[in-house]
Amino acid sequence: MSELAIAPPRSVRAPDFEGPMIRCDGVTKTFEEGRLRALDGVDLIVEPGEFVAVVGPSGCGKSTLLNLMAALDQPDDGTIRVAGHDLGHPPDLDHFRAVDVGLVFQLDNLLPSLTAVENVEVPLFTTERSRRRRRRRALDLLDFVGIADRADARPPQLSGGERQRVAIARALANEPPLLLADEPTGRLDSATSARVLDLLESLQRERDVTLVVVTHDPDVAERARRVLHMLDGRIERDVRDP
Amino acid sequence: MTFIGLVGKNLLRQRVRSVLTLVGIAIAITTVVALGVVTTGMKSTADDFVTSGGADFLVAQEGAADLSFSTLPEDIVTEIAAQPDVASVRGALLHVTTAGSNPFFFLSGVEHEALASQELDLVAGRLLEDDDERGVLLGEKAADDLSATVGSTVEIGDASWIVIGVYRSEGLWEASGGIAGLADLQEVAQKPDTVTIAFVTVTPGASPTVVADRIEQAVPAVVTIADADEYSKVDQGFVLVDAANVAISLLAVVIGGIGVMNTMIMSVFERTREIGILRAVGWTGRRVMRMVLLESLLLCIAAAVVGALVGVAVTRLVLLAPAVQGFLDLAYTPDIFVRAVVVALIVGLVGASYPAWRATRLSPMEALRYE
Ligand SMILES: Nc1ncnc2c1ncn2[C@@H]1O[C@H](COP(=O)(O)OP(=O)(O)OP(=O)(O)O)[C@@H](O)[C@H]1O
Ligand SMILES: [Mg+2]
Repeated sequence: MSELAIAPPRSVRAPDFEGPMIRCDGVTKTFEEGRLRALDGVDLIVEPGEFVAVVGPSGCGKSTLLNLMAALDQPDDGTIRVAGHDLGHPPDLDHFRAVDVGLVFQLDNLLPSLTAVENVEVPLFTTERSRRRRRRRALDLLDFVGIADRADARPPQLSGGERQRVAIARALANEPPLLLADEPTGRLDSATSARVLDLLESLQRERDVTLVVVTHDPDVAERARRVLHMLDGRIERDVRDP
Repeated sequence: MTFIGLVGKNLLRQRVRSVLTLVGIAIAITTVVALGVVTTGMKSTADDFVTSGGADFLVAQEGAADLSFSTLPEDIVTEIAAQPDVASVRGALLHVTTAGSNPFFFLSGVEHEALASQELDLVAGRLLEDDDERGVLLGEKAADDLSATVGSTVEIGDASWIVIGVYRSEGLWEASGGIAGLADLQEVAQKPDTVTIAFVTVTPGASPTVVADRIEQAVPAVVTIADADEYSKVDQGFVLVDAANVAISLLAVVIGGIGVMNTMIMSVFERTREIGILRAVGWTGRRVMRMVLLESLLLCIAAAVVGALVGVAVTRLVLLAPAVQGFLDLAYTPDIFVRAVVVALIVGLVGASYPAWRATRLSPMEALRYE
């Protein structure tokens, strides 16, 4: 794996916050007009550089928690601070999403009409004015995740593992300190998911990226330094160095 | 990849749908352009007519339903001539009939003396004289169409005329029409002692507007017409044409707008999840909105170009018919194309505004969960 040669866009500021990467206090989220309690008072602190896996039965609120951390949605109650930003008092949530957090979903999270490299360029539109620098950085990121040779292929022409690499490259575009992944290996065979996990792990180890991975996959949980077991919208167990 | 490049890629994804939408808008634009070309041509022909023979304005009967229905007693010519600052007055009897392939042959009857002051650009023969029996001067186009030369006899309407001269004129109605002696035409048209209109030339330095106003005040039951827009005083034709023009442009906006809206709603709807992804990687709602609007505008501008080209082609084709050449002139003025582009832009904005708004209304979360 090569180092990134092209620096992130200048408009991306280095994270300059004190304290934890993620801090949730009494986070509650309901759906269906309050009848469905997806999260029920979640308290959580994640320090910079941690690799955290979130596990639990289907419907226990894992994705909901991840989406709140990514500022895709707002909690009904409680506060969430991520990378020094209070997501309840958003100065600019769009900018937060662009530069403070990278997101990887299960699958189908690429734009199908764009090539791999164009998909990686998408988040750079908000931070980098120069078309040529966008392209160079995107190519560099694809090289970094090991699929530079597939830069001009479109998602339908890519394998599942390749698509996830593109998604990871895209999540890294603005060099966020935090990477949130929702079942990134959910639809990959074990050999492919092992390679994707290697990549994620190396990000955490070598580049100090904080990793929060929602998963059903025991392999993922095994690699993580810390596993959060969720049940019915709560964190039941918080296991370090399993 | 540029932002525009991204927008173009989005349009190319549903090629058939984009092309069909483009065709729909292009048809509307073609209509707007073709109508514009024809009406502008008609107006410029009418303008040429008002000022034909160096006249500043013409005088017609007040309240006539149509310029060709105007009837003025011949004495009125003398009365107008007596007004201050009037250099010359030329009474003319207009007779529209068929001749050769021209269904609207314009034959005007004028006094022989008045003819001399008209500065006709004769290319053959001479002007009419008092001894000429049923003598006629033909415009170049008319002579061509009737295959007539000086000395030949031509059938205009039900009467036979002898060609005395052939003149050149910029005015379409004049060039494809003819000029006869007033007395002869009054006899043929059975309108004794009357003229249809009078062309007035003011003395150098005098203001035509002032003189025209003065004539309207002093001479009973007449109106003055200085350009095509003032035709509405006697003729609602241009008013109707203008109204039709506006109505059809509006219709084009509405129909085109609905088509674009339909297309854009579908395409935004289908891409709800993708829009969620864009929002999730930090695109602002405004940027997404800009993308949708630009897609629509790009489509409509392409349609405007296609529509304008087809509009020009269609009008040129119509002009190939000889029957049309005699009475219809086309004018391709910039304002016609400006209007076409403006219509297209309005269609694009109107059609995309709701889908663009809808695209940003969903939270990133809702958009991502959309199936
Ligand atoms: N936008 C929404 N509207 C309504 N209900 C929702 C919404 N998002 C989540 N839920 C509900 O909230 C609960 C938690 O959902 P969540 O997606 O967080 O579960 P999960 O732990 O990720 O499950 P899985 O492992 O199956 O992905 C579920 O009952 C789900 O149906
Ligand atoms: Mg989930």
